[in-house]
Amino acid sequence: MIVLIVLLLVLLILILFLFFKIKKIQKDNILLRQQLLLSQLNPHFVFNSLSAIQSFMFRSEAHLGSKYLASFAKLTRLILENSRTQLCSIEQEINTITHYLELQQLRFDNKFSYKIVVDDILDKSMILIPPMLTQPFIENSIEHGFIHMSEEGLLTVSFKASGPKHILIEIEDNGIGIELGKTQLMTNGEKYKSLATKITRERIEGIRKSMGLKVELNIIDLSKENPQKHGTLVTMRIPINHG
Amino acid sequence: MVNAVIIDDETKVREVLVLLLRNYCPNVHVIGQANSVKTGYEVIVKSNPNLVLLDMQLSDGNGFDLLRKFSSISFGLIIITAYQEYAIRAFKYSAIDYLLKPIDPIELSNAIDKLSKTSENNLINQQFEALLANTESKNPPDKKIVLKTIDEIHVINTSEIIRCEAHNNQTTFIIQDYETVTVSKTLKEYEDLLSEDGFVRCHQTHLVNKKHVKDKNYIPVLSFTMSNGDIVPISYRKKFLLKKLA
Repeated sequence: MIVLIVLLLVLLILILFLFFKIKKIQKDNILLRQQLLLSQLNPHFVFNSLSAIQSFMFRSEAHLGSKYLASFAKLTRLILENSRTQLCSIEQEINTITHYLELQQLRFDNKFSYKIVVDDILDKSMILIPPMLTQPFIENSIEHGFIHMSEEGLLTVSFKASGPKHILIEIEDNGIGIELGKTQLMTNGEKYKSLATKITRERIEGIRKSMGLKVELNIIDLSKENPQKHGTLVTMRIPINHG
Repeated sequence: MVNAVIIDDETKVREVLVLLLRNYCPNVHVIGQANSVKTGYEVIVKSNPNLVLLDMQLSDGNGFDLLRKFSSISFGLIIITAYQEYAIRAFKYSAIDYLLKPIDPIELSNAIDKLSKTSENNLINQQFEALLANTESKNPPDKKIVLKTIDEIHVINTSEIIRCEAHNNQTTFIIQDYETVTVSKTLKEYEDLLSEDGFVRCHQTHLVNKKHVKDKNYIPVLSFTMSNGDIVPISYRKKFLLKKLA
């Protein structure tokens, strides 16, 4: 009898424990999603982009103005859509990145150009990835990597196959490099902590917990490998999900 | 004629400001532009403008970094910002005008009109000093608030404000050892601003400083007695404050 009661109690505790653990994961997920949404709809990006669009109106360049306004609307819609789903196709991801980059080019007066490269063997419409993992790093390249450069920046985002089961996303820029970028952002001697890296690491952890998808993130300052080069390379290796 | 300098790290925003000023504020003449703390300082020193339109986010720092380079200022100041909660609060305390991006042309011309009316330098500098004092450290011991009336400026330590009272859309400040000051802003605005300095809205028309609440009364109505002897009513909805304060 006593054994039965103890057993029941243990079972009850176990159930309660699991229940709260699941609750916590769900809560973390919601928090993460909110953070992600905020980092993608970064107020500085949003309102400065709108200001840039406003400038076309005052110069009576209605065509360009409405082109960028449409781009802005499409990007906002895609980001809102992405915030509801855990996976999107490479095609949709490229769409989102393209609108984002177009608006950033407008904001930064074409201080940089970009390339998006996709391996032919990848089925763009069927392979699914967590949306906008690349965005915080693209933002860093543009807002910190290129900003102090006199020559034009080049940003390359590539989607490559990596073995039979993985996809490799690379974000490479020829900016000042992450090490120098960090020292320039030092405030009062305090070392700058990259928000992009922090948010992405948390998100990768969340993706692992909720979907069992293990994303490997690597950030390399290119000058460390070859002193003649400068820039940052971010790589993310993701197990393939097929829609 | 107002000579203006525009400091913003976004080229397109500077462009749009030039165009807005040309269209809506024809008496403003843009004499210089800059995109950073360093170049902004140089342009101001070199061209001695009457008006500076300053963005909070610059390529090598922020608007505060630039303002701290001056010990006093001889120009009107309008802050421009995309979004910066902390910064906006600081400017509200100093009653310095700020505009949010994208800029509303009417708000811009209103802000410039207002500035040209209070163009006396020592007034601007009082606001400026309060701003610098408040932003020197995260939690300044004596936070200052600037109260701007039609023809005067009062710089007050928030700890010396006993209470605020609403009259229509105006707010009257009752201040320790100081004259009564009435400002044409709503009590709600000051409630939002001063809530982090220990001010509590106890009634539709009253905002009290917790530090100055001396006693509570139940008869004839629920009320607080303040440090200067004023009796302030408490609305029934806020009666829980009786337990929390005094």
